[in-house]
Amino acid sequence: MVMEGAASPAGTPRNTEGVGISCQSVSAGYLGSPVLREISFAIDKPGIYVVLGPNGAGKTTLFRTLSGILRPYQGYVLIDGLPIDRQQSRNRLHYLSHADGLPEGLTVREALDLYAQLERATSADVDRVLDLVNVRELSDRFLPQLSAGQKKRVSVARLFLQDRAIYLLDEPTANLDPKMAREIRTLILDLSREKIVLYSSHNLFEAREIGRYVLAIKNGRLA
Amino acid sequence: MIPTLTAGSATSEGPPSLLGITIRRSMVLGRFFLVYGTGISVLLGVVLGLVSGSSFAAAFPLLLPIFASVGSMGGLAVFTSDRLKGTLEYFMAYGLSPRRLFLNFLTATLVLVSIVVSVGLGVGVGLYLARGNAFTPGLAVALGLYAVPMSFASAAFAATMGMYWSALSSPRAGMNSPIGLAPFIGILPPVTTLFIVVALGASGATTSVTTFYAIAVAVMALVVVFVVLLLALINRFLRRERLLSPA
Repeated sequence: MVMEGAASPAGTPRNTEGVGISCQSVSAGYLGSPVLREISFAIDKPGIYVVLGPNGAGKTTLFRTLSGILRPYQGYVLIDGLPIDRQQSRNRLHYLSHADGLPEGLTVREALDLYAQLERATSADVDRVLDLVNVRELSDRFLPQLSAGQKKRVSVARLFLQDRAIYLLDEPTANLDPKMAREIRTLILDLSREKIVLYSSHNLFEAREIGRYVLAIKNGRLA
Repeated sequence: MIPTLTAGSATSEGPPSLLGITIRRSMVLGRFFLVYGTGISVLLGVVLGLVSGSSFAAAFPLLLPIFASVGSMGGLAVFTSDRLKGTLEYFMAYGLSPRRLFLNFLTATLVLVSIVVSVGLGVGVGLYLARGNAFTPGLAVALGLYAVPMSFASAAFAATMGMYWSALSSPRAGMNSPIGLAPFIGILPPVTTLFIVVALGASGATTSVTTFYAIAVAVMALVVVFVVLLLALINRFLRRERLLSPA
């Protein structure tokens, strides 16, 4: 179930790779308590799909389930027709959590090198993303020395280390100043021309600005 | 400007090992514990060695596991930090299972123990031999059958209990946290061994060196079984959501 929003019509180019994400009657949550109930949708075209809902609606739980971190109590998630628990499916995804997830004890450069290792990206890719999100000058700093906004920029940088078909972005502009938030949104908009991007937000204005399609979620159900 | 991206990856290759970087991070985040554990072990070896060869042979093997366990807290420190900051969540998204993550941190812990034990033994035994003492079979047995294996068993026990505790509890900082209390958990196996031996002696039972080693081996075996059991039961006790960032 995908609803068209009122944002800028960016066209709906065909997904040339034929990949897609599909969620069939998914119920999921924490320690046996369901947060998501009977969620079903399928996306097979590139673009930004804004997952919109108030705090506590289940957006983060949905992203954690789609990325394979949480296992559904019922239903299933398919990536390009394969279950999400297959490594091949995971390797089609990029996931950005609302937590920065940066490993302590490393410099910015080393943290990105670690993620590059996980992404099977190269040192040249790390250099590229350091410039892309303007964190080059922070590369030798240890992570606790960064502000929340700087950490978010480093976290976002991971997304561009390696090409993926589907991007799950849980509040990617949280903690960023308006200028940097705009720059990151521009990067994500560029990305969405060829990729499927699910972008969570509780901000209706942001949703209208960035997304052509909206998945509205309330009390764990698609509205 | 958006970069030129490479072709989409659809390989079925699993995530690479994080062991090397985890060991390095354990040494950085747990540097206080590592320096403290190693320093005290060395100091102990030097002081006991200077007092007399018999003092060293009698006390050093008994005390080494305590400081080895304290020195290896870096693995647990990284686990706790990664859980709080949402790093484990990312690792799971890349396909690393909770069990593989646990084993990763546990192995890093054991590497830290080997550093403390190697340095402590190297300096202590080196000084002992340099002062003209003979490396007796008794000392070899004390080190090989008690000090070294008990160091690894105690550290594995503290790290595993600490990781379970950290994952099952609400996060808190300071001494009243898994990191603050794990060193005390780590000294439980050697202290339990000594307590049983002393209690047996106090109750009038005949205790000998053989009895001591029998008790020590039994305690170590129990600890190892307990650790293996906890690792085997990770999927039952520690659901994936236990490793998520609480934020």
